[in-house]
Amino acid sequence: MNKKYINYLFKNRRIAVVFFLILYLGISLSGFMNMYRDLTPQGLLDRVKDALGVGFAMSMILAYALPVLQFSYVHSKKSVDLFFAMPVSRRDQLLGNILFCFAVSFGYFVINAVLAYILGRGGTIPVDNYLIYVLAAGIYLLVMIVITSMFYLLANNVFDGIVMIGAYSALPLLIWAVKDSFISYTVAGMSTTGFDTLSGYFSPLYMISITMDRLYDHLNKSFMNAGINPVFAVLPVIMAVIAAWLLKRHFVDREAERADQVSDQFFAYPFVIHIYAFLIMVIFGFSFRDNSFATSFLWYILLLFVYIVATFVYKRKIEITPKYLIRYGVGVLVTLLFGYAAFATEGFGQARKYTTKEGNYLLYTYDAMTDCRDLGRLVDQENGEDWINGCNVRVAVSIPTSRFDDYREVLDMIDQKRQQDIDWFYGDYDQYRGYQIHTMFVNTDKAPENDDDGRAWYNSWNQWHYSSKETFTEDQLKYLAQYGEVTIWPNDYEKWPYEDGQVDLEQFIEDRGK
Amino acid sequence: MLEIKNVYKKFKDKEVLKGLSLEVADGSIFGLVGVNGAGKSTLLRLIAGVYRSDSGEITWNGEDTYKNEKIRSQIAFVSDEQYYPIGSTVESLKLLYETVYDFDEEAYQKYLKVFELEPKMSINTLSKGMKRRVSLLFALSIHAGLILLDEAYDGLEPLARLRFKHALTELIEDEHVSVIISSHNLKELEDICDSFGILEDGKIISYGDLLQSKERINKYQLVFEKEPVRSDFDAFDVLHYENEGRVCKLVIRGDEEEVTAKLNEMKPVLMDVLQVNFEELFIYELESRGTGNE
Repeated sequence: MNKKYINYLFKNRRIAVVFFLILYLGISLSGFMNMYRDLTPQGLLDRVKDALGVGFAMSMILAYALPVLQFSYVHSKKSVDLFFAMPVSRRDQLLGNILFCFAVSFGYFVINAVLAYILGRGGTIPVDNYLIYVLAAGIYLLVMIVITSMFYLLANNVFDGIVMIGAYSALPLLIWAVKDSFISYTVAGMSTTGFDTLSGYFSPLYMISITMDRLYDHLNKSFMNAGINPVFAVLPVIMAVIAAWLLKRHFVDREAERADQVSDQFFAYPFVIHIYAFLIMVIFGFSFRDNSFATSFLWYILLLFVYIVATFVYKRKIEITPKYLIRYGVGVLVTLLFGYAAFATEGFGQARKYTTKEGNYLLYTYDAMTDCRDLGRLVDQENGEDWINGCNVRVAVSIPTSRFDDYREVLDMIDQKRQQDIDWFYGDYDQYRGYQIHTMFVNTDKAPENDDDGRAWYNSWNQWHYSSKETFTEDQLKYLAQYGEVTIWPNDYEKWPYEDGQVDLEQFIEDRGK
Repeated sequence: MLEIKNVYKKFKDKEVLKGLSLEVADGSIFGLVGVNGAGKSTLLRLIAGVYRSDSGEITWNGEDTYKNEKIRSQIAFVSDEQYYPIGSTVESLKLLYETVYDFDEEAYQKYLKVFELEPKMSINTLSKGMKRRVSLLFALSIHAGLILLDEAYDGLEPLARLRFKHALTELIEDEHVSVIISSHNLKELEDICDSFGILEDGKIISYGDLLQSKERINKYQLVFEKEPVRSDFDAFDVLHYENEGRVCKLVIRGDEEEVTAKLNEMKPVLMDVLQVNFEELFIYELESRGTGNE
């Protein structure tokens, strides 16, 4: 490493480094300004944790901003002439700038962490936990600096470099959206989730945030119980190693003449534009059946427009050639066929590949707006039936998985309903739209009666959630009532003045008969 | 000594240098000329180690200027488009040169005065010519053995140019520095350069001692009794030919005495021999190859 060059980097930026340090500490340690109000161990812990959390977030922002600032010189012809002609090897320039970015972002964090620890008198955080947190912050800041630098240096000018950082950072969101649309539009019943583990594997930022969040939550507890996903903890480091290897190509062996040129390296715009266009087309392909032809057509036209604009940003000129349009058309065709194949194969077989015997309980719910005179018949509001005659039927059955044999008949009944729902999803789709029957399957370890916040019933993890027009008959509801709760919620409160607006099935049928 | 052997460089599909070879002796001021886009700046960037050649070798004192960063401490490169970080002053830029080059404080102070610069001057507010002075100031303050000036000379006003010429002359005398100057102002180059190279179509088509080359190319004005034709001069290395009736003007490459003797054998009524200047030399060299456009 070239000490002279590193010396130059620090000396050159010393005023800015000090200025931003003051700003950084002013924000991260602001919680201590009203410290006198709460000197309890919990109060001090909260303040130390706040300072560490805010400090890490700000250092992560620096891990994005500093490489942009430090490596901008390779994106300008003028500055390349000055810096690449220097008697400092490219390798030393790379290491020097990475070190500078790391020293500033991590240095700020360490100063902040030490001050927070002193001001908060340790905040009941064990020293080893504190040190591990600081060390993890250091490792992950370095990881993000290396990865951001690599994305930035894929491009050939400052603007494109920033676009590359944004594009590659947002790509995991698009991957998640593809997965989400595949599930929503082609796999009957499978519930979609938020940004999930699978998509998270593509995002070092997400993995680092989750891992650091786990450590943060357990700062004053044992990290052994922090529930850290080892893949999330290690994969960003592996990604950084790969990024470091790519930096050799994009910085050490970089052709200086790339400066100020269009970013036509494979992994710059050519890859980014086409992967984005392709993944969006895949989403359109999955959702095609859900939209009218006109809507889909408009979406494809809009995407083509975006594609043209993106190509303009890339090449700085409008380029619409027959080849270009054919390429787009082929993309549309291929993704439409893929979307059709996904639907035709029932989500590549995923729709019927469910397990019920998982965890300690299988929770089953059913929710339908039926006619109070026949709870097995839907209120057909579209054909003028009055909503006021409706009764909402809700079923909740909890079946211990260890006693499945005892519940065989009810399980078969529920499964038969499930198969009907799946058939309905892949059948007459347009008619299905008008109905509001929901059935839901949740596997959980926790008995619903012990679940204070009802989370086991309503959270979205590992759920199967169907909407269809297939109702249970009143006889089936009576049967289900033997195994769980079947409650009726009439819409006409005057006619059915039940407390809380609900009543169990048996009572309702009795009252109705009067 | 700078040695360039069979260097190729292309940008995407455009081949800029095609097997270029050149030697520049120590203590020489070498004028690099060529039409726009001939590859002068590319060649200087290759020598400075900014660009890497596709093949071939560029060495300064036997060391590869791209691969060996240490040798680059002896090379000062003043680009045609200088870069100054936002908010930089002469003093803040000094920090860079001071830290990574073998900086000569004494020379710095001396040239600061010569170029009428102040350490606190904000570079971005300076005029183009003053910015050039800043670049030249640092090029002269780092104990460079090889100074590469890419049109850096062109923006200077006459007095500054004169001062710079003196500075270069001193450096050459005291430290045996070599200088390569690329410029479009051939009259200025003629005053300062002792050797030259004409870059055309990716190669040095002509290079050597400027004075000798100028001596070897002369303008001949001849009057004959009968109207001559172009083929009458096939025995000569004619760079330029024009005639009007019995009067013809030729630019011929070759020893003046030998050419005059041979021309006398053709019994001209009248013959005048005129010296060419550097600009004419450049034009006739290109013209003779049918590629000149400047």
